[in-house]
Amino acid sequence: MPDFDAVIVGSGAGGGALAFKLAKAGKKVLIIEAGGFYNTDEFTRFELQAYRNLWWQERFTSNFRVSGGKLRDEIALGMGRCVGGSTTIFTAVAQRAFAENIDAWYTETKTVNDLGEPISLSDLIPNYEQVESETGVSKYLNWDSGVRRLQEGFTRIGYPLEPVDAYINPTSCDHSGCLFGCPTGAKRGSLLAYVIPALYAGAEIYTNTYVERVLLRRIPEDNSGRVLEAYGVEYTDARGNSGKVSARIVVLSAGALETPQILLRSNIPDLAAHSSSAEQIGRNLAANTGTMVFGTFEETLNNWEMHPLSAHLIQFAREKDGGFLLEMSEVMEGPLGFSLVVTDEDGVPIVGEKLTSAMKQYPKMAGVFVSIHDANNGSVTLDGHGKEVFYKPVVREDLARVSKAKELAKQGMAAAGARDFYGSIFISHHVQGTCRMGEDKRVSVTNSNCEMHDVARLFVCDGSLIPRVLDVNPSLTIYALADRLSRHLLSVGNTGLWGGS
Amino acid sequence: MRTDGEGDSPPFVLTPSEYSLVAALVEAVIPPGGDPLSEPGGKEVGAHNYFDSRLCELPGEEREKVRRSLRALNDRATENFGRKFEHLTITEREAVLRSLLASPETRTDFFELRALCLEGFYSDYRDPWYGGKTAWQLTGFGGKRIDGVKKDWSFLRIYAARKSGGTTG
Repeated sequence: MPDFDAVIVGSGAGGGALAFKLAKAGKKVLIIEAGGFYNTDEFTRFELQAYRNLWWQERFTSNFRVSGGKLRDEIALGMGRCVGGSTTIFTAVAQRAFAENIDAWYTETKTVNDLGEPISLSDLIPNYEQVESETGVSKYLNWDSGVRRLQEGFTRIGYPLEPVDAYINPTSCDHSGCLFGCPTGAKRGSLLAYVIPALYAGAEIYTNTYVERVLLRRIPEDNSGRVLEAYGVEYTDARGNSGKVSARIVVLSAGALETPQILLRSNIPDLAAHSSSAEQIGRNLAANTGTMVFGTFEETLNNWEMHPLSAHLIQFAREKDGGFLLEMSEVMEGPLGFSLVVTDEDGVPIVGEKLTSAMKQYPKMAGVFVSIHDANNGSVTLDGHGKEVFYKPVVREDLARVSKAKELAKQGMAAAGARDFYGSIFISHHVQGTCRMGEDKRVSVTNSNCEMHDVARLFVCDGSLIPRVLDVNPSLTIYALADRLSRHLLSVGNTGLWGGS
Repeated sequence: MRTDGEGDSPPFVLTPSEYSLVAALVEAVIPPGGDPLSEPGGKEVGAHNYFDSRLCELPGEEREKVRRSLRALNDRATENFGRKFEHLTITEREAVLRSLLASPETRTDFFELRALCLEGFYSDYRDPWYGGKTAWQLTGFGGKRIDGVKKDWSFLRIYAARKSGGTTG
């Protein structure tokens, strides 16, 4: 008998939601999370502690090195490393993907619905509705001082802002920020919406536990041509002890940067005789490459008292309309985060008197977060020492979109009265695409039901699955994909997975 | 040369020459205002000591990477101005740092070096014996859930070594 029905690696949008749904259905579930467990009453505005507890350390792409000096721009990858994953430190924007984004999944990888037809937005509507209800999505109308100020300017230039849909209970949000965990419980990330309910439903969790590899064994070739099967994982716990746990199914929900690394450490490309699908592991990384524009206003805004990103300008978000999204306001919620990312207008991090004078203006600043439709042209690989290497080219088209978006952001801010503009480094919180789903094995890692083409009983449930980059924040779509996978796993046709006949 | 694990006052990890280089670095990244008492910079609050204590907790490989960056800082200073970094004027130091932060070859390593300096100041760090103004006061950062928030510095060797309790309000 395996130890668990399902072991789920990662507790973010994908892992948390799936764990809850399986546990609620009576399955014996283990969640393994690399980060620690921090609850609402432990979230602090002491930024340094929050970064240390809740975030992965600063990690950058290695574009210059990997490209042999051809690419000059790097992207900082800002992800959560705690129970709830990036949803614990995200800004709670809940946005359904556009219809053309989902249509592109079939074009890209032949992703299909339950009937074998090209997948479309209508297939995901029941999943979106379900997770929107569970996470309490509503329009966020309680704008902070920075957003109200920016709205004046953007309205003046003919582009009024709209409120975002957010995973926020507006009556309990008191503008105490998002990036360091929500101290009021108003934000419905995976932690509150799914992980804690999953634990009440009987799931177990190992925290501060790092999954080294998936345990695999040979099987007689199955109907899909697989000769490998997952039966558990090997991990290292917080004390450095290694252990193994067995399960009927293994689900990797560690995010688009970590999930492919676990698969590569599990040596799947070699074991699968370098099948085309195994060779796709870690490829096709997209990032919604982002940056920020900060402007200084006459009056004090104290814009760290905020629900960041409570408004957006979405009319240019679709690829065909420009491929950039503006969200606001964003000043990183504290002087440390702001000082880290702030650059001059050429994108060079500032030091010295330039930095200290910018920091003196910090209470008067508001900012716009810019993210773009970029290409699935990056990768996650391991070097000869097993160390992660992230590559996400910032290409000419990306730079053109960023430039247009920043120009519009500055126009709106200037019309609102801003002066003394600053930029930021390139940053991404929206990594996607490194284990794509689809029926075309030449360009995908899992099938349309998120099970690996090469390994039976091994599923992926996170942003890695998304076959083509979305034009909006991906978390709601990841939640929806988890809901979709749970329905598949719990369907009558899959009783065999759980030991039934 | 100091080695990790000796003594109860900084530097714990940095050699004396690295320590004075880091002091010059934090001064260049976060200079004081005209009156260092009313407008302290990184060196006044002890950002170089924070830097040293943070190195204590880094794995050897990452610590060595920081050391390489420090050597590169001196190399660039010597290359551009014929003198080591700490002997440059403030303007020259800033020019060296900007060139390293702008160059694609060195950008991310120096972002990380700069980040260690910024953590030692804009986190609101201060040495255990320092009683003057700190970054939050200087930037006006405050408000609900921020004023009086407990700041636990006990992860830093400098606080652990002095058994000072490791927290500030």
